Amino acid sequence: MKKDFSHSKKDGFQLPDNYFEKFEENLMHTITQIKQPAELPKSSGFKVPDAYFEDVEISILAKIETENKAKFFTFQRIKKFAYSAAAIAVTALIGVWVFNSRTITSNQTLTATELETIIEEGYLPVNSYDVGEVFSDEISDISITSNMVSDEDIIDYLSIYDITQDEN
Amino acid sequence: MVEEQLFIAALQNKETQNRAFQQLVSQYKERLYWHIRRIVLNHDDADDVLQNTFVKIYRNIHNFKGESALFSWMYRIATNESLTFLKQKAKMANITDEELQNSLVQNLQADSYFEGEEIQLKLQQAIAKLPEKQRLVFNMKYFEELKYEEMSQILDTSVGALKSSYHHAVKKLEDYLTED
Repeated sequence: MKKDFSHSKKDGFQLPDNYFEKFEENLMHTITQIKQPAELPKSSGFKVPDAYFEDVEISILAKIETENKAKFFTFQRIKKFAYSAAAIAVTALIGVWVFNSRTITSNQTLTATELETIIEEGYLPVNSYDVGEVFSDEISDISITSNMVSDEDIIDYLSIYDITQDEN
Repeated sequence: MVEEQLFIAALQNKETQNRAFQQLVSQYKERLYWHIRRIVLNHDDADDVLQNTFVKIYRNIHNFKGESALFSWMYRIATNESLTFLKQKAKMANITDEELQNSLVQNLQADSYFEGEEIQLKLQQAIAKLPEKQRLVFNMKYFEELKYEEMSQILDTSVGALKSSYHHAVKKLEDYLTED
């Protein structure tokens, strides 16, 4: 059953004449007021130079192109630097790996020449004391070798090079 | 929507990027310009900010995930660029943001790219007195006729709060313009 929304006279409320006929018109007027307040001008008064929007498009695209070129050059530079850095890194890694692999095999398998090379290359900071400690056997061998030089050879050497002259 | 997704894909693809970007600039330059101009007021400043905005869009288009409309995302960049520009300008001149707003409006009288009558100048003076958020909301709703839903995405503010800001702004402006 359709409900009757018409005004009941029992509650005593009254409406202005033609209220509902004018309601829509009044509502639309209020909405327009919100959208376009009566006292405010619609135009902001700003303007732009002639052909500005054509020119600005060209400027923006030129800026982007410049940026792309700059990015390319920077990339090239970084690439060059990266290659050098990579080469250095690889060399260092190989060095460390070689050094490590040798130390792993223990000191006993290292020859004096190998160790000397490693020290000369700067991979191992050692002093003569450390070397003496490690190669005590070889050092005693050296004394044996010196015994193989005959006394005659020593006298000959001393007669040629007068060691006492250096002291004067 | 599908069309926009295809356009975004073209902007993010190296092969098609330049042509798509050219289309983007052509399509949005005027709308973004006027949005920026109403914030910074001066044409030369608006020109600088517009160009920086597009450069930023170009640099960051690969990070655009499509969580909002492309248009909202660009408006957000333009808004942030404009506000940052004004803050830097105030800092360089060693004045407050309010002082800068007053100075910008005063300069309009001698600006060859402002041809407003007395009422337009007075409106700009009144807008300059609004808090930053109300100023943005008023310009976007009144002059740019953006929908509240669009503004909500751009300014990351609820529709209710935007409506409230707009009505407060309109009331203040009407009061200011009719107080004489």
